[in-house]
Amino acid sequence: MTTVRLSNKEREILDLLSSAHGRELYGLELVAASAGSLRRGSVYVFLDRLEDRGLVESRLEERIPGMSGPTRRVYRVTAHGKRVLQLWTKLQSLQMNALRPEIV
Amino acid sequence: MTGRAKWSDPRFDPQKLSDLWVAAEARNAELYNRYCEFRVLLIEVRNGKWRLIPKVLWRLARSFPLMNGAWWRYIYIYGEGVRLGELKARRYSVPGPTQRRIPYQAAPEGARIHAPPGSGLRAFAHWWCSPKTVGRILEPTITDLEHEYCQALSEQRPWKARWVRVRGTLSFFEALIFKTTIARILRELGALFHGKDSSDESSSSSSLGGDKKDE
Repeated sequence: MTTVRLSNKEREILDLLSSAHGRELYGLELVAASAGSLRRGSVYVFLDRLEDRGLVESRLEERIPGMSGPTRRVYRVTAHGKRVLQLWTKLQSLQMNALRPEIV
Repeated sequence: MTGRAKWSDPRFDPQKLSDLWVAAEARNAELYNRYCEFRVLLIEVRNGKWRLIPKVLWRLARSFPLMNGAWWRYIYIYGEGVRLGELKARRYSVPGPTQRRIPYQAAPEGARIHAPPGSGLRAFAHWWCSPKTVGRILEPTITDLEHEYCQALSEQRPWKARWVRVRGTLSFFEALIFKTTIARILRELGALFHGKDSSDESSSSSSLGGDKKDE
């Protein structure tokens, strides 16, 4: 049994990657999609941590003819990452349901 | 690209970015092979800004006995608006003065030594950090900077390109600080006192129990 610890930023990154429907994203795309909550300087640090935990995987973009500039590193969520995110979403909804009577 | 293209020049075509870099490196090598007759310890390319640091390094290097041999030379290429390039010597053991001034005006037309944005950061990263950190954190940060820079140039917005360069440099150092031992110590302290990941700007984190082997 392993405990997966996720910060808010890491959850957000996982969420963005899983909502890309299998498309691989690079850091700047994640920053743009997050509407300001992720920062350029820290996004790759979070992605690195997620990769160390096996929640995302990365590869260098393939160079196609006519492409210019250096190659980017692109990321996608792994099956383990998707499962962790689903569990977290489920947990979140359970917590919300538990809180609702108190609010009412 | 013909003429003396500059990175901040609006005429610069960013679609030919990699070609330009390769061309610049080839031009550096050509320039060097043409003018350098002996092995050098250091190349200084002068434009009035890079004057002091290479000179100090040269003086330091000369103070070491091994570096004080007759075959080490100090060459500088002189010219306005020239940037430091990565040059390597081919030939050596030619007697001559310890310093040699080569006028940049004698260089072939169109030759201009310049580095792409982020090349200094890249060199620093490779020198300072582990290959893993460079490959997974710092290199992608620099790549983003380069792509954004060229995007801004392709939109004919040189001032935006300059801003991208500044912001990219700040992002690079932000990533570096996040990844260093200081960041790790702060994170540990944060976890100790608050029970949370202090490297995250947000206020909460959560844990999930799960078996990775299930996948």
